[in-house]
Amino acid sequence: MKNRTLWKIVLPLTLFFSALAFLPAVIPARVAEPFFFGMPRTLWASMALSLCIYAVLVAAVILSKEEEE
Amino acid sequence: MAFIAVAVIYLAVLIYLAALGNRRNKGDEREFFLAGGSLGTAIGFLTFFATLYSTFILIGMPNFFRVHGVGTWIFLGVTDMALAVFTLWLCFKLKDRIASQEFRSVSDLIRNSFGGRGVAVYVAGLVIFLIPYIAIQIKGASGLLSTIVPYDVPKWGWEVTILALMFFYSSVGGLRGIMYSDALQGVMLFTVIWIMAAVVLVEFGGIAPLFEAVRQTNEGLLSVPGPKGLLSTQWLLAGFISIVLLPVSQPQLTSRLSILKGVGERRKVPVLHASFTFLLLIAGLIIGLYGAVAITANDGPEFIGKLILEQNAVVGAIALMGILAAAMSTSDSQFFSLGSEIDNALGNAGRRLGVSSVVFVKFVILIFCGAAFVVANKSSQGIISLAVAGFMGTALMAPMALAAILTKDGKFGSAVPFLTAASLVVFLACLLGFLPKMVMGLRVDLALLSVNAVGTAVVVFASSRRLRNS
Repeated sequence: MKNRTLWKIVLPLTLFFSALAFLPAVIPARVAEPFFFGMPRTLWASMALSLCIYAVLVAAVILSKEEEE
Repeated sequence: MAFIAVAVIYLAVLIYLAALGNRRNKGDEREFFLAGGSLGTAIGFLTFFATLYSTFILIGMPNFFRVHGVGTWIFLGVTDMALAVFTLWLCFKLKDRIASQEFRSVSDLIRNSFGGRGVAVYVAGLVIFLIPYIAIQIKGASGLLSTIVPYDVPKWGWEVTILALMFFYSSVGGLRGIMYSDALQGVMLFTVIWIMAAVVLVEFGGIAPLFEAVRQTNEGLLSVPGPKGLLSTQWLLAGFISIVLLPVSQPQLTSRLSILKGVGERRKVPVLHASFTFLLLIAGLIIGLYGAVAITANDGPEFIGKLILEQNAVVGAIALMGILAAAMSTSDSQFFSLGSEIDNALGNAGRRLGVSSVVFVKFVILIFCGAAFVVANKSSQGIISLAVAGFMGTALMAPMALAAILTKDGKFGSAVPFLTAASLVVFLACLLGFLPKMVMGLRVDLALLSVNAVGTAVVVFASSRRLRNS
């Protein structure tokens, strides 16, 4: 994958996952349930979104490396 | 006794690293300013990590979780992962840009695109927002140290110690000395925060019992906007933008990314940064929630101070050194970077004054150390506002800096510097209470950043198009 194309996917994906964290539908105000492994909803949902962005980062590194090789 | 032993070891290592940096610089100016321009993965990651994370991460971040609850993860966790992606992208763009000219500082790039006026606005913005930020950090760390350390050293004594140490290793070792010290400080920062988190976790018997205890103490901590209602969508968005833009809005970070050795380093550093940040935030979350349940305190330093007093003597001593390290690791890089930018902004002022740039930058750092000491001891509400808003203040210059990085041949005139200067003036007026902070339900800083970004994009695209057509 060309770097230009890669960034056309990576940057919007990062913005998309980041934007989800600000949506009341994903992180509702004053709602802690449901709990997951003892963690309240806001925490596990935002942690999951963080991990999604992390996955995008790792994928970007791997794909750009392939192009280099 | 434990404190003295840890302090002596820490100081000895710091002096050794400064001397090592000095030896490797071999008296060369480029080595002094850019560490040879070839930064490896380990030092590159640690210096970026330590420079980005100040005392805020050791004191402010756990306290944020303690006071505002789990919504802090959005403010820091989501934001820092996005910052890592932005850093990776910026690394690639910087590689293209730097390859086209010899890099010395961000000011050089801005001068190429926006002329002397752009550099003047950029350096003025850095001085206005970074000096109060550094001063408040040093003040916070010194206050904590003077309260906790079992020896009768006044707060100003700690401030002088921190500033003198920073000046010593910055001027002896140059950027290389700073980066070696940052590596040590980054390791200390991470180790200290995880030792304290592990102690807390063992005490509570795991993460689930900790959340149960928080639910019984203050249920508002388990959702947004938190018990105090701070973590609103606009507040989180402003925090997100100002933090994600840090690698381009603060020159000490941009310069580190610019001198990474090769493509491999440019790929690995953002991933390592994201991985360790994730772990760091988990530790901060644990400590903060423990504080919400078990520690009553008025502010962050008092909370961390009480937490340190709960540790055994050696861990407590290492934690205190960690706070000292955190206060220095960001400030040293900011001072050094400010010195380099000012030297360049004034057109190699050192040479015109008949001294080398190295001597001139050391002199500027000394002046800034003095200024930070004065500001730390005279801080008014206005200065505190400047320090707190420092990230957003420098973020207002990000569109101009980013345009300078992304465009190689463009000459864009003075419109963008004027727009940036105007937005900085309006933002300052808001901070100092002369103008309202909200306009039609929108935060003024977000509105200014939007206008800045759109205005800069329009000028750059229009100029580029004109250039292509001609």
